[in-house]
Amino acid sequence: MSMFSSASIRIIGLLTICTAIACTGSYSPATVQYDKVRITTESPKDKNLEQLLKPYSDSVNHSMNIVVGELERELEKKLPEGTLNNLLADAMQVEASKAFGVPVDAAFVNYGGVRTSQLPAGPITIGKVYEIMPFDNLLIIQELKGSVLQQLLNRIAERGGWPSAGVQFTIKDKKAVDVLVGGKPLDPSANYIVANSDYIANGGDDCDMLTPIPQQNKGVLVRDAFLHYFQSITAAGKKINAQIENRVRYAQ
Amino acid sequence: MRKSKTEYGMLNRRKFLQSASLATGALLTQRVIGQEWMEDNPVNQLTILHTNDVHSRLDPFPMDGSRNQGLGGVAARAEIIKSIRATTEHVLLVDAGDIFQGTPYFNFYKGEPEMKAMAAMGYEAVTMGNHDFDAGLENFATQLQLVNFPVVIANYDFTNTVMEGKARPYHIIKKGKLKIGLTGVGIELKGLVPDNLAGNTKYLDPVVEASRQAEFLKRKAGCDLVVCLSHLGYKYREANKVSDEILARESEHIDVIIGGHTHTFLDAPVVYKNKFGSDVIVNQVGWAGILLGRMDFGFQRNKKKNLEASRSVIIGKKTSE
Repeated sequence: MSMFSSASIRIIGLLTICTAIACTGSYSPATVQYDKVRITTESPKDKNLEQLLKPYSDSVNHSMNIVVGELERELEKKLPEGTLNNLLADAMQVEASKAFGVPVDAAFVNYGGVRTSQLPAGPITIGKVYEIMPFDNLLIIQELKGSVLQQLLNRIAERGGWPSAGVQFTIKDKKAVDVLVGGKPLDPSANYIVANSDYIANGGDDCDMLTPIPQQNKGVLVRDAFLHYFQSITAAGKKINAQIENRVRYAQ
Repeated sequence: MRKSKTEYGMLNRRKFLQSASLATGALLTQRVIGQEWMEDNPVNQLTILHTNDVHSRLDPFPMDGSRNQGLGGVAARAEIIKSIRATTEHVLLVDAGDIFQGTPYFNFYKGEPEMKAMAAMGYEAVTMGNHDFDAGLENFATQLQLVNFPVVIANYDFTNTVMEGKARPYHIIKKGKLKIGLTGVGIELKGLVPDNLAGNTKYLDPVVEASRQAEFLKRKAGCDLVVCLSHLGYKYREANKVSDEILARESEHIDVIIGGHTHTFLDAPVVYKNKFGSDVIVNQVGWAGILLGRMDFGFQRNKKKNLEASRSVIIGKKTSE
């Protein structure tokens, strides 16, 4: 090999190295083949992972498999109104009244906070209630001026409608109109007792209008409020159910 | 670079399988892009496996007649990952956040079994979702002690929090000859994560921060592929709310965005054009670990002259092996 060609090789080699260091990688993606591997009951299981989980699942399942009630039929979470929406909002209103010992005019559950979209008919376990409401948020009440309640309803309308109890309204141009509270038109200057989670009262889901208003809190978790509500229905010898009642609807 | 025990254990078997899988790879790519590709040998393959928004779904959904009954679960996912690793040379396993919250496991153990399971499956990087703050930032930092993979996030400034020094804006992983650059972005905390949980975490512009890291990874660190793990959400009705779609279009050096937050089940990865007109692949696989996302990348050697030219990636559904 001549001196000349050996030097060229070295120069080419150097150039390649410089390119690699100073500029960019040596390769670029050219093709992608995609797939989605569905994990089903038929998929074989890794023994080590099963072993790893066992002590945790034994303990969790022990408490979670306790049945707290029986659903009469399938309930669904839906916008602007669903049967599950109404069940949970009713639970907030009833349990807040019990916990704070005052009549509660309206109660709300933020739609995104309800983590189960459908409950099948049949027994409902504590574990299921944890899945509906996994968050450790507190049940709180606030005394809201009618005008502030209207602002909150507008925010709820903007977001497509939330589980609501004690109120009825129509969503028009992202605002709540024809609002009834306890069956009567909303009075902007009246005061209303409203139940919510502390997440919303602290400004979550952009509910900034609630943050300056004092909260009452008895240390009851929203999830526990749901549990108590279901247990009290069961204790009364009834099944759990809810209906669509045109609480929240879209303007035609 | 971190490798799981499983990977080390697989090395010998992999070498044995290498020639076979390379041959399969060549056949597959030939079918996709034909002759031009074959001239650009050697073939380099990378398989990215990904999850998002698993939300503490350690067990499959219970068999109670609900929509997702029997789906998901870490034991089955682990087995699938193991079998893919056994037959595929270069695998990268990542998660796009919201590891925590959603089943009683989290209420009881605050993320401990979730983290242990992810470590056992050999996850190599994750980003942080809003629900990973749910038991407080201190708890997230505590649970991270159980894992050997990094939290990659460019737009949360953790200065003066317990997470300071425990997350990184980028991470580089080598797979054979390939250098993979990872960055990550998280969603706006205000109005979503309560102040007492977010602590002093500062949210920074995700497009600016991801672009900064991606440029470094592509142009300085010499990465062949830049992957952004994102918990921004796929896209929103509000046109100006930052999302993976916006990040993809406004970015310059990101090749792949693995998304989360919106629990979007994409039928197939979506391809966007970035500022340079190059392809950015965005994918998201719903939630709860019902699906394991898989993308098999084929690479070509860069030609010196067209480094800045727009590139396109040919995308197709994986045919069975």
